[in-house]
Amino acid sequence: MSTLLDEEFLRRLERLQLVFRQRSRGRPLGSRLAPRAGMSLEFAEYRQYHPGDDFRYVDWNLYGRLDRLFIKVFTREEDVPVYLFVDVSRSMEIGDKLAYGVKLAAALAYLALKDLNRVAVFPFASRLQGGVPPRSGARQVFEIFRYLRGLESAGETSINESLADFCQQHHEGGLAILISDMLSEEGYQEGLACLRWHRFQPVVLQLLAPPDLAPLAGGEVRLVDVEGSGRAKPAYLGAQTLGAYRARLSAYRRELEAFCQQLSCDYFLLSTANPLEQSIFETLRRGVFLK
Amino acid sequence: MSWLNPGALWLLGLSGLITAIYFLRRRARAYPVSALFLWPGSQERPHSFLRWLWSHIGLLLLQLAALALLVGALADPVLYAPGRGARLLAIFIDGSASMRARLGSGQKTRYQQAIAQATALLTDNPVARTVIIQAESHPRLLAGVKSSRTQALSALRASEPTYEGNADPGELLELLRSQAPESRFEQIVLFSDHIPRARLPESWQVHLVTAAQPPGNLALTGFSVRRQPDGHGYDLFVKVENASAKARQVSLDISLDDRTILHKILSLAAGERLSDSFNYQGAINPGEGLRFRASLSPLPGEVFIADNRRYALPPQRRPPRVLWVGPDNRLLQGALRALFQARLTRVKSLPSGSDAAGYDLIVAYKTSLPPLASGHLLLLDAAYPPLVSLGEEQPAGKWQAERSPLLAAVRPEEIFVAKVRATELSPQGQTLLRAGQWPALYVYEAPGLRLAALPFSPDLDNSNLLLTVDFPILISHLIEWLEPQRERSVQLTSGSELPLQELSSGTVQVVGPAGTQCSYPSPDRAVPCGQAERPGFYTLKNGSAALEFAVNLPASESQDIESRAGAATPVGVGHLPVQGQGNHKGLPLRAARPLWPFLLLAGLALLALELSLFEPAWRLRLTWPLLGRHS
Repeated sequence: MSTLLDEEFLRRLERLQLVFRQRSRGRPLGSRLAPRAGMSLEFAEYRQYHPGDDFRYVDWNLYGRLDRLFIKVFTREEDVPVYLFVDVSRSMEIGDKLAYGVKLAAALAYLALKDLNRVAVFPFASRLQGGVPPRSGARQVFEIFRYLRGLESAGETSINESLADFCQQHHEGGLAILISDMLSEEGYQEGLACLRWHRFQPVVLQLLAPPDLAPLAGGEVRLVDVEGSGRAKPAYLGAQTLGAYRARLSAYRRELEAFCQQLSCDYFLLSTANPLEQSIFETLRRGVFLK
Repeated sequence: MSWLNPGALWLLGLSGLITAIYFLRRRARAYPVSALFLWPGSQERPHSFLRWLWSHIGLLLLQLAALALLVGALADPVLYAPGRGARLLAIFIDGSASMRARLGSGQKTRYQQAIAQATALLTDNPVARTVIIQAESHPRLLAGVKSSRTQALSALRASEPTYEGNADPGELLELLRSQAPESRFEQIVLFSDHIPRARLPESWQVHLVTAAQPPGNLALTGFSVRRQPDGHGYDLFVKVENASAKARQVSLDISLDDRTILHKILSLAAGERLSDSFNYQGAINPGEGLRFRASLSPLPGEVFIADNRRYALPPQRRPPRVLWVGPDNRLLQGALRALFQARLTRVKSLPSGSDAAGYDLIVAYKTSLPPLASGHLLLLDAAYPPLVSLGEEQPAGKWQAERSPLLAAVRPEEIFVAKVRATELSPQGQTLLRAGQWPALYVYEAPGLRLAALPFSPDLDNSNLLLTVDFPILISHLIEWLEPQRERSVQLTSGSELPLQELSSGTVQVVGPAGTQCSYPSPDRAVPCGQAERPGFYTLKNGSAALEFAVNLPASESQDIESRAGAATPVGVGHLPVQGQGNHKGLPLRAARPLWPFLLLAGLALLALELSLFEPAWRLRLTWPLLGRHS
């Protein structure tokens, strides 16, 4: 654990909490107060007595004043499954995005586990990989961290197919956090829509590195796609070419952000040039994802 | 700035290879990207020529610059800042025989001490360029001005003292000037056990560092052998010197081959020089040579094992080299060979202006010689105008002989001559024998020229001279008079060249004192000095002929054993005082600044830069922390 996140950082994470905006059917014993009647100590509302209700929940003081029977209803505490999708395609090597993404996933997993939620980790590249199925309990953080440390990059990015694979196997709903550079020529729309359709709350954390955001001029080069076997394109890295690239990347990002708004899912752009603490405690807290 | 190892600059030739490989393997460098589909097709080209040049040969320029810097570092450049260091350092290290002396057994020799001091001097001045010369009677360059410091130190440590005499300072300076102009030498250090007696130029700053303590020694400084005039026995001459401060007794032993022929105890007062002579009348055993050895024992004080031994041979007569001019006469030529072991060279005539300097004797037979500047001439029925002009043959008359050593034991009345020439002779000469009114034996002497003429035909049809016993006596007298210095010098000093040219052509074998043998294909070439460097007996063999030489230390080397109590006053050593004995401290030599570390670092940095630009992975890792602000 120490190689991923240090203790000071974990202590600071204790003060944060994931925000769930969408109803989901979780299991009891979580820390989230579900809008359904439950067995917690927190009072929710009154309702009229019906035959068969437990007499222990009848409010006898109210009966004395109103001469009518009312039952006290308490809130229900249940957990929320949190699914972490970590992009392990070859493009995550550029600028060491994979290492940054792994640390980010570890921090989010820790946040979820400390609130007694279930956490699952699914790496993906061209297809969804095995990963760690949903688990709860603070002790699971060690196993999840160990698993995250062992992730290595390989293959091409296929967000649509990976998320479609996931949706076919999981229907419970929950928080689906996608950590990826989102740079896929075949797109991402179908995958995100699939998550939304299956009542997941998608959160897109797009990780980009300085070589992606602001590549340097380099004269005559051969642009090599790290994911494609042998795909290359000759280019001269001058101001004109770099300007055109930056414009295309900006348009791509705007398109992604607009699509996320359309699906009512959260979108954040993170740069690996910024420290992880800054990304979590400032960038992600600006939205409604963390509080 | 100068280069200590300029030979390394040849490695700059690798730049051609690097350029060829660069253009053979040149291709656009790979630039990995996350999403190729976001990159537009680029039609852009560099705007400026410099950018175009950089994109095409930038890496090549970096490689060549790195190569130049690394080669420059190998060439060991040195920067001489004004007033910061010596430009050139000259070290003379005395390699004469006396440097072999050591202070007692187990101690270092004087030469080893000198080497240690010279090495320390070089170590204290690591980058000064150094010329090292071993100073003896034949100075040798150990390390030239182009030698690296490592080579100079290796040559210095590998050098050995010789058995030669002291160096001539003039020759040392000439050798030094052959390496660099005088003005470039800022320091000259002489490591020696004695003060040069010759005066050195005043402009030179010479630091004399004595290599040993003042010695006290007793040496055999002279030994020679002479055959007694009557031919019976030998005279032995010995010189012994006691250079110590005490009276000494020492035993002198003289041996003939391996047989001791004299044993004597000598008593010498402090500083006494003794000369003595002995007579040896003993028999020479069959098969025994004439190798005389003299030795002193024991030697107190410093041990210099070479100066208590001397070697001597009696003078040897060497066969004359004779030039025969005129028609052959087998009887006369055979007689010359048999009587004097003469080596004859025959020519029909001698052209005018010929040089006969290489011959001991010129025999002219029935011919006329042109004028010669010098030489020893024996004229047998031959003319040598204007001194000897031959006329017609005339009947010989009665013999009339003058009193002369040349006619000792010769009885003219035994000789019959039918006809003699009517000869005109120079009045400066002397007619020793007449046949009637005509001269039969005439001699003439002038500076560089001696002439003896027999103006009649010695052939058997005219005379019985060849058949009488007077002929060898007369010819022997004449040849002794014509060429009196036929005794060959058999004493050489160590370091001298062996006179191979005295032998005829063909392979010459040299047998040294330790039994070492070496062969030389042609006697025309002088043997290098080193061949006779060790004292002892040398034998030169050429077919059946053999010459022997006794090689001894130069007398000056034995005289260098004397105490130098008065050496505090330098004798002819520039204007600087003599430094302390065995101490080179205080020499104002300073080091120059070496540049190779800077060039090496710069070359490696350029290589790292080139690699980082060429290999994207390297570049990304190197530049990553710097690019964070771009995000």
